Formats: sequence, structure tokens, C-alpha cells
Amino acid sequence: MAAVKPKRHGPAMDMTAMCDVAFLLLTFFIMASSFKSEETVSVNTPSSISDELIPETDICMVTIDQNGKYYFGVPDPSQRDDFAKALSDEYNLGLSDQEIIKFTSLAEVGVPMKQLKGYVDLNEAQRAKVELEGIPLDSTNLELIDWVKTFGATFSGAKIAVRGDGATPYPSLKNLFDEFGKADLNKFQLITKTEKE
Amino acid sequence: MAEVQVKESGGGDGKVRVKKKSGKPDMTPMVDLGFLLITFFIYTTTFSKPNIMGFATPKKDDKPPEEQEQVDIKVSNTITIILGEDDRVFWYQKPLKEVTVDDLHETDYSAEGIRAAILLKKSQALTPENWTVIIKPSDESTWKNTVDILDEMAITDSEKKAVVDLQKVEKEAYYTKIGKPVPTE
Repeated sequence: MAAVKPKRHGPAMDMTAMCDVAFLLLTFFIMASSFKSEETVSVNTPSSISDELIPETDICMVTIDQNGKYYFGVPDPSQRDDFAKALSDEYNLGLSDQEIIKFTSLAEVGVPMKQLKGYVDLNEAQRAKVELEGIPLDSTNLELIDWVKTFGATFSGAKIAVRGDGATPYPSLKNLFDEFGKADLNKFQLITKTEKE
Repeated sequence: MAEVQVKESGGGDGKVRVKKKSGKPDMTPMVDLGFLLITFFIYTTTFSKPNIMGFATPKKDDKPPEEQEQVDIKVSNTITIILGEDDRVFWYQKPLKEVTVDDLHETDYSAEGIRAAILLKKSQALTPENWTVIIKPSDESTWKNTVDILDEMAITDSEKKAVVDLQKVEKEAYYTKIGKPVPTE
């Protein structure tokens, strides 16, 4: 009787556990990351050595593009609906609940309040085509301050972040600081990129 | 594959053996894919947060600058920096009323330029605790220039700083320096 030869296997590594780990991590990262909402205006901020990160909530953002137009945004998506409601009530914009939900998808707004209702109703493709005129801030119309004050009234302890394009001529910033100063808004957080030395 | 191939030794009787498939699927490509995606997610989520720099403007005073209360600071404890056009920068250390073209020193935004000037003047200040930097952006300067200078304030540890507008005397000196007519208000 010939002895039965045991079949020789190579040492097989079980990849199932490895796969589990990989997908567990993957799931975690997908859950933990928040996607950036579409930027209305692309701004190339100057860099600085500051290493303080922008707070997650209770901050509103005023953006100045190269042409000196002003935009207003709320970085925290969960605060946008309350803000839109407050703004709508305060200035009788008549935003419906549907429109407020649509507003929450906007990272930044670059239209005066009067046109907000119409702008919110547009779909993404139409919005991309709209020539944004920016939110007025000049001696005849200080609307941007109303936006900021409404945000401050809605969320106590709110901060104002200023995000300017590096190539913006200084006078449009000066105008902003002057007008805000007159309205007793003196503290700002300037948004910058991290300097790579 | 996750299996180590073992060479069959012996049994070289010329028979071709059909390799037996095990019933388990090979998970290796799946793991590869998983880690590839993880890598992608880590890469895309790291550079999204900008940082901030605190900045406060002085309380507004609607009086014309001549009538406003001037805090008396000795000239030797200050440096005034004028941000010009095309990334040019000038500094002077003179009482405001006496500034002429010859007092403006042109430098640049590099570490050897404006930073060295600030540090030098700071080390020469009579009372270092009163050391103040006055930043005067001209209408032709950009936001980047202002942020760069504010950044220098942080680097040179100049706590007291003020961003103010150019006054008439300085304007004349500055525009003469860059060889342009003084813009009329």
C-alpha cells in the first residue's frame, strides 16, 4: 500500500481581514470628510505665517474679488438656513422654505438682496451664466453691512472673516474697513494661505 | 497573488497536473483598491482649511485727520512703511510734517529688505515697549502687499501697528519718488 501523499499547499495569506481594514478606513474617511461646496468666485488669498485655523462655525465670510466686488458667504452649511430665514424676515425678501433649502447649497452670494429670490431659484447651470454684480457697499448703499449685522444678530459671538484676492487693489479693502468701522465692526479675521517656506 | 508558489519537487513523471482552484476568491485586488481609495481621500481632504490672521481696525473718528487726537509717540520709536505700486515698498523715520522725497528709502518685501529695516529700527528704539509700526498702503498697492506687511509684523514681533491712509505730505513725497503726478482728490 502506497502512503497517501498529502497535497502540498503554498502558505496562502488570507486577504479578507486586510480588505475589511481597508474598507473600514475608507468608510471612515468618506464619513469624516466634508465636501467643499462649489465656489462662486475663485479667490487666490495671500499667504501668511499664521497657523491659526478658521473656526468651523459662527463665522461669516466677506469675499473681495480682483474687481473689488463683494460677496457674502456662510462657511458652515448648517447655519445657512437660519441665516436665510433671518435675512428674509428682516428685509421681507419672501423666501419660501423651498428657497431657503436651496440657499443652503450656496457657499457664497454675490447678488443684492432684491435679486436674491430670483437668484436662488436658478439651477446650477443658469447660475454659472449670471453676471454677478456683487453686494453693494458704497456711500449710497451699505447693504453688505446689513448682511453681516443680520448674521451677527442670528448667531451671537459671530466673527467676520475677510477673504481678499491678493491682486485686489487696496482701495476696495480700505472702503470695506472704513464702512465697517463706521458701523462699529472693528474686528476681522483675515483669511490667508499657509506660507510654504 | 497572495499565495506563495511552491515548486513541486519530485514526481517528474511528465504528467501535466491541472491546478486545483480553491473555492476562495482572491481578495488581493480588493485590498489594493481599498487602499488606493483611502490614499486618494487622505490626499484630497488635507489641504482644504485656510488659516486666519486677526486684524482690528481703530474706532472710527469722523473728524478730519488734522483735528483728531494724536497720540504722541516719539519718532525714534516708530517706523512708517508706505506700500507703493508694483510691489514697491518705502519706509521712513521722520516726523510726518517733515517728510520729503529724500527720506523715503526704497526696499522690497524680502527678509533682507523690509524685515531687516524694521528689526534695525526696532533695536534702535528708545523705548521698545512703545515700538509702533505705521503701515500706509497707497491706492496702487494690492491686498497682498498689506497682508505681507502684517505678516512681517508678526515675524518681527511688532505688536503695535496701525494701518492708516497716506496724508498729503507723504503723498507728495511718495508720488515724487515714483515719478508720477500727485493725484488730485
